[in-house]
Amino acid sequence: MKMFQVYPYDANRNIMGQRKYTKWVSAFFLIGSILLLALIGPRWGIDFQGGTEVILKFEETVSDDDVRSAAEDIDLEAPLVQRFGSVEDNQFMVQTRDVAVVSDQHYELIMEGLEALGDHQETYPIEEQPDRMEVRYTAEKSHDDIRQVIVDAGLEQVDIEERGQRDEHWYALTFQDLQRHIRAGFSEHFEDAFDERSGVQRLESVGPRAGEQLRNDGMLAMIIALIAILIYIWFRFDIRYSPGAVAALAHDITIALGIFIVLDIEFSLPIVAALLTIIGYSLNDTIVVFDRIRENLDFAGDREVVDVANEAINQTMSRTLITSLTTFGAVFCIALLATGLIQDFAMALMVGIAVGTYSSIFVASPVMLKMDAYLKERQRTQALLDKQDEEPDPSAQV
Amino acid sequence: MKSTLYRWGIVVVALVAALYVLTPTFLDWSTGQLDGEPSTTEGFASHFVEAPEREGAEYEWKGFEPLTLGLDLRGGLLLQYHVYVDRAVQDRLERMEDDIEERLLRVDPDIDVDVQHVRGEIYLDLTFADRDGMDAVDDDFMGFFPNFDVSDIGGNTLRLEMHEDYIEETQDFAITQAIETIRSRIDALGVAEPSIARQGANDIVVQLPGIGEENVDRARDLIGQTAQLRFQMVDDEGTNEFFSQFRGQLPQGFQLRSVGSGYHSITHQSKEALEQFFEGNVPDDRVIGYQHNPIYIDEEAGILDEEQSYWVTYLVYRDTEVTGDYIQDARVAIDQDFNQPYVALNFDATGADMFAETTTENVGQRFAIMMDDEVQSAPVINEPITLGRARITMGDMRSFTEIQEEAQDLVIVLRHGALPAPIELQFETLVGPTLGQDSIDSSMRALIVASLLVIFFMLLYYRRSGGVSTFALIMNLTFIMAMLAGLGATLTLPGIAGIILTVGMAVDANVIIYERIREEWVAGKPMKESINEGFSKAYSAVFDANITTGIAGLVLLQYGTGPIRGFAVTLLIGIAATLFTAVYVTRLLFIEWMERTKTEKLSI
Repeated sequence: MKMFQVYPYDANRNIMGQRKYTKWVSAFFLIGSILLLALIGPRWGIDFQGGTEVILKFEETVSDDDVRSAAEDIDLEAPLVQRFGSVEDNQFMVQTRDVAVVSDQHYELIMEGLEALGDHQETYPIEEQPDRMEVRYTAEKSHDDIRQVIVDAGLEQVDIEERGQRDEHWYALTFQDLQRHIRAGFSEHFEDAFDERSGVQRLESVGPRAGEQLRNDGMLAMIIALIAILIYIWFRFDIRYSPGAVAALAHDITIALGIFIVLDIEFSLPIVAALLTIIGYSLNDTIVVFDRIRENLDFAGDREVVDVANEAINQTMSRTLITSLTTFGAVFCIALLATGLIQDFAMALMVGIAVGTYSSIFVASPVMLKMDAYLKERQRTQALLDKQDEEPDPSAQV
Repeated sequence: MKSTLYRWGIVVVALVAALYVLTPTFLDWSTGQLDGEPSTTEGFASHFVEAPEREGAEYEWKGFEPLTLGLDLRGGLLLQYHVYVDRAVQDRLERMEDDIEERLLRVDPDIDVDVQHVRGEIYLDLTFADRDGMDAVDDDFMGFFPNFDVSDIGGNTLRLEMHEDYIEETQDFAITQAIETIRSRIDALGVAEPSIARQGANDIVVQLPGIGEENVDRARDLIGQTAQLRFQMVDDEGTNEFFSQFRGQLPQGFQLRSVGSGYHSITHQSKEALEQFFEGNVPDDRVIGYQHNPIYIDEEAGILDEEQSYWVTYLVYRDTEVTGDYIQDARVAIDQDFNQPYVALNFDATGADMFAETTTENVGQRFAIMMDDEVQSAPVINEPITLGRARITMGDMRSFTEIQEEAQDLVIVLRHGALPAPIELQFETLVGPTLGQDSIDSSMRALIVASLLVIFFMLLYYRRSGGVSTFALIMNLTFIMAMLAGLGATLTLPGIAGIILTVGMAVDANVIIYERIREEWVAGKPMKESINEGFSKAYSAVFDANITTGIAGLVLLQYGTGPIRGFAVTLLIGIAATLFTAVYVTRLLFIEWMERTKTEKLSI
């Protein structure tokens, strides 16, 4: 019967023998990734460091530099401008560390100005809402005077609302929020090319405190997932397999992170999901190989473990190739066709599939062999020691 | 064969159930959009959905709801706020500092005491110049502060410590109140299907799907506002004259009614209609206060009769007498004589003076407790309230529980409407409707092309067995969608990513099995044996692989936030569907196939 074959079923190539070369390949990538992580570090998305990300759509063709200079004109802190989607889309993604229009500098100027109006009683900045402030006076102040203070401090717009009792002169100030500031700023800069009302396609803003929490939550989720998976393998297989699986995962995560830095993929929440998928995928591969080694060892008799492992890898090779190639192909399609988040996700998965397939063969199994050798060695020494204990020194006999 | 009959039964039942759950989704999709609006409610569809009674209202789905799309796919605004609940507690303690001192001075003008609250702590320290001063803090005095324990910590110092459950209550109230306030403000926007939910311990997530661009700024502003409670006098003398002037010229739906003790009011089913009606018709120094008067169809179940319920209007002086900032404490108490719940209210020293002045001047008149433009309650001032302790009695013609509920609602408003814990915008996501549509289109296109590629490969490589896989894969996707719809989960972009991963794993499961069968076949075993061996030997690898991924999914569900959870939900559902279809159903199809075929040829 004729069958398509990607890898002959009766092959028994010496794959494990290659491990003396591949360990240098792994070492090279690992050290490279660690250096990249230590020296450059991942590019954190706004999810993890706080800030605002906005996608703007323009009516006419504009250049990156135009958008960048507009972002600088409206005083966004460290703006990052990137084209979003294809050139015809005329969409740009602008990221900034800002979450509010009011900076510390503005604050000081405003506080001074408000006090200079006289009859000043107290000013209450609201820490958690940087775009609001409350001020109390002992005598009435005109809205225009207050507004002038804000304008002098360099802010364009403020809403003033009277609060409190009849004879209290208590004013609540609401400064222009960042979103409106961006809308107004870009529409002024680009005039007809940017529609103030519908130009903002997407806006995401994360407070710095929330960013830190998300980062911690993400790390925690990842560590717990790893530990849970290891415990499961320990139970389902045995202690010989666990270190191999850990080593493969640590290897994959480190190299994947290194490649993300090289590809300049932003490290955001969805990328954490992608990393976890990579973990799942790589484990999947590792387990298929381990499963076969376990099965073959049951009938192995006196054969060397390394030969049994090599045989198992050969037997599962066609499956490994088929699955890796089809999933890689499918994910590649998605990376080509999808946009934004899904695209980043697909790119991360492509990296994961490549690294995961490699590590299940050239990291997990060799480490498993080392662990096996180490345990056997210990068993032998233990057996020797036991033997000595059982048979007392004949010279001691009388 | 008996055993396959039983297995087929399971598969058929599961498939029928899945299709049943998905029917509303198909009906909804019939318009080309998953927006909760089907193209028809006639005939077959009438078993699943009912058209809304009023134009513009939502469709009523019976039983299962159609699959809903997340904000990232359909466009809309998502805001997540953090509520600083500790601040609610700290603020309360801080404001008590001066108040306790003043109260003590009233008891004994010569007392020399220093009240101090250390920021971050849950107690107040009262340090007296001499020990005799401590006598002023007796049971009577502590009656003002029922939620505190007093203890002598030496050095002429008394420590007033807040009860643990009172702290929790205060924090809980802060969140409930913030949610209530946000909800009532969002309602004013008229956005369809807004969702305001508590997330985790101290966060609130507001979702406004499909919100119009012109409303985005308004929504953020409305939510961001700090609620302020105000006490304003009702214009009792002018009320009847004011409302009667409209007699005879009221449009359809408006009614002139007599509410309370003979006071007139104009009522209508909709607050907006009333607002429009009164615009430009109110004297400059007066405002209209609105109060909802709910009428229930089924009181137990809390089903509102929207037709019968109406809004009552009050003519209120524009000037504010006292604001809620001066309220120190509010709680529900029960009148022993009449066995009726009421709200007991304590003002702090400054507020007590202001309140005393107002109530002395206006005995016999009504005052309105207002939040924004809504009247929470409009009690009559029976006597001057000079001690800063007020009592608000509820309406009288209703049941004990009803009054108690109303009193509790009012307490929430009184306590925290005045000072809700500060809220901070954590993150905000705004997705324009076109970008949402673009995401769906491009993701769907990517998903379809990727699936076709995989199916094409499977058919080419495994031929008829590849056909079996394709069938299982389609069934797999059906089950995933049905489970998502059945659980009322929302489909988001990361959710689609989860489905993509699942499809990959389902294909892998089949590849593992088929490769094993081929191996056995190549080793020279007969067809049936190859298939049986192949399946049973591949099981452990397939299960372990899926379970480890499932473990990762569970952890993500537990510890992940927002988008990650969406990914975890579809991943877990996908794994369950995969184990069922790629293993159970595929095997069943193989058994059936072997029964029917007479040849010893294997198309794999």
